[in-house]
Amino acid sequence: MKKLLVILAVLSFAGAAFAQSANKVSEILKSAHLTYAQAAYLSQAALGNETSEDEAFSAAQRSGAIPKGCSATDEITLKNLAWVCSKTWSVDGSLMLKAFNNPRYTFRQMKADGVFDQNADPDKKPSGGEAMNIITNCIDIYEGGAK
Amino acid sequence: MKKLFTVAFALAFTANIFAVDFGGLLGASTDFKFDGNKYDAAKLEQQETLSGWLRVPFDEYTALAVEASVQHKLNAKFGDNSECDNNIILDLNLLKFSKIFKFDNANLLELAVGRMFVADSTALIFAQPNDGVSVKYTASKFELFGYAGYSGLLNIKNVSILSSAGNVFFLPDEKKVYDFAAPYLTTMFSATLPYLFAEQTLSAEVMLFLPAGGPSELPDDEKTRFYTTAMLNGPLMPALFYDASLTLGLPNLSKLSLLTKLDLIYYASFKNASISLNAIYASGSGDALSPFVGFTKITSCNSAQEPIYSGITKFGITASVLPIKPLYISAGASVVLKKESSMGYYGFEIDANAKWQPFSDLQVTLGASTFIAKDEDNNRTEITLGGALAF
Repeated sequence: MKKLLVILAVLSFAGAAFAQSANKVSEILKSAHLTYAQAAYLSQAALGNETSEDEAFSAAQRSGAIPKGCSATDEITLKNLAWVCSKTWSVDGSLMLKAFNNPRYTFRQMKADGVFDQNADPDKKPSGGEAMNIITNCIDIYEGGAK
Repeated sequence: MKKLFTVAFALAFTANIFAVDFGGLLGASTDFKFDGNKYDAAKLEQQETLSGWLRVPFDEYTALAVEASVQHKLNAKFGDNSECDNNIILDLNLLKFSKIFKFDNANLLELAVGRMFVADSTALIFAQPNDGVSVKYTASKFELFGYAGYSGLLNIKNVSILSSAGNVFFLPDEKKVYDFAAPYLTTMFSATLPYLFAEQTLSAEVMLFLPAGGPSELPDDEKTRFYTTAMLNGPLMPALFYDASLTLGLPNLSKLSLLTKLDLIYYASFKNASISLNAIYASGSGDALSPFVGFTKITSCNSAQEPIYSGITKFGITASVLPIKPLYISAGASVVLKKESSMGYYGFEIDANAKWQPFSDLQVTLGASTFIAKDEDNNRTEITLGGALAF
């Protein structure tokens, strides 16, 4: 519940669109598996940017956050969710990540930072609720580090 | 050993249908030892290690973890070309299948099978990888742990097991990359009562080591060893904690031996600093008690003699601090008494260690210690530089 409140508090800066955004976040929370479009939407919403899922997905594609061949409705893995988040927050602190800027080492750095559990499986497909926890962890841990 | 690797690889390939997380570690260390004040005859130990790991989560509560390593070790002595050994060591450090059962009342049952690191509550008697089965049941008011294993398939080059007389069994064949360790059946059972009173945790542990057969052989007169430990730990006041234990050993299930340990640790709010005081007593020969001997070889101090915890009394102080985020520094000093004919002053040790972690996956360590012994031949000064990269 705390996680939802944090996201909603961030969304409140979106002003008039708040109610619509809150509904969208509630809908995502109920998802059994998070999609790439939802992941892109959440990462934008956490910054207070009001967009649609499609707009967020297109923006994420342009920024290189979405692996080639993945569509908006495909279910995202934790490793690729980490990659999406790294385009929103500044994830740093790994030599291997500097050398090979890819989802694998982004996930491992975010694990070291405490965003993910130590035993988290990079290929697990998170639910909407789990993704919300991860986004909230990103806000907590990378606060002030938004790109 | 081939069988172990075959099983490991078979499991790894079987796991192909599941997601596999994997990684590796590249490490190197250089160690100089100057014994007996002979600073022109340093002993060098150079090691490079490459290890790979993989983790296969079958579901949220079931996983297979494997770690294997190859290590090059060079031992040399300056000024003496005859004492130069190059060794390659292969090892399977971890092969663990684990499953967790969660109950409605939040109690947990954890099962693990395979090769895993196991340690007793003092970490001075039994602390090594071992092949076996562990069961742990955790409830809100108590915790039970049981373990049964076998040491005979371990690589003796990475694990030193003591005989009941306190000697390392035999020197490994330097030409083999894997040589089997002393075969024992190892069992452990512990019960813990967390926060029993005033946030104090009480635990009791029993261990039994039985000579067994295996690829390598034990001497005929090798004895069964039994240990029982009582431990109490918890806070004395905010930020001040203690850890006290008493172990009775029964080598050959006859005459008692004793190991006692007390640690006091204070955690400061400044720079994550901590300071700890510790005292250890391990009975020796000539006492009313018999000499205490553990199972895994663990040295009590860094003298040239490298004595185990047997006939040893040691008082020490250690302080550590994180002055800046990627740097950890610790320093300590100890006074060691050793039982010869009677317990007498053996030496004084000071050490300092620094760990610099500029990146989460890169670590550089530097350690230095000096042991000033009553008998100059036991003096030792040691400097170690190491580095590791996780990938």
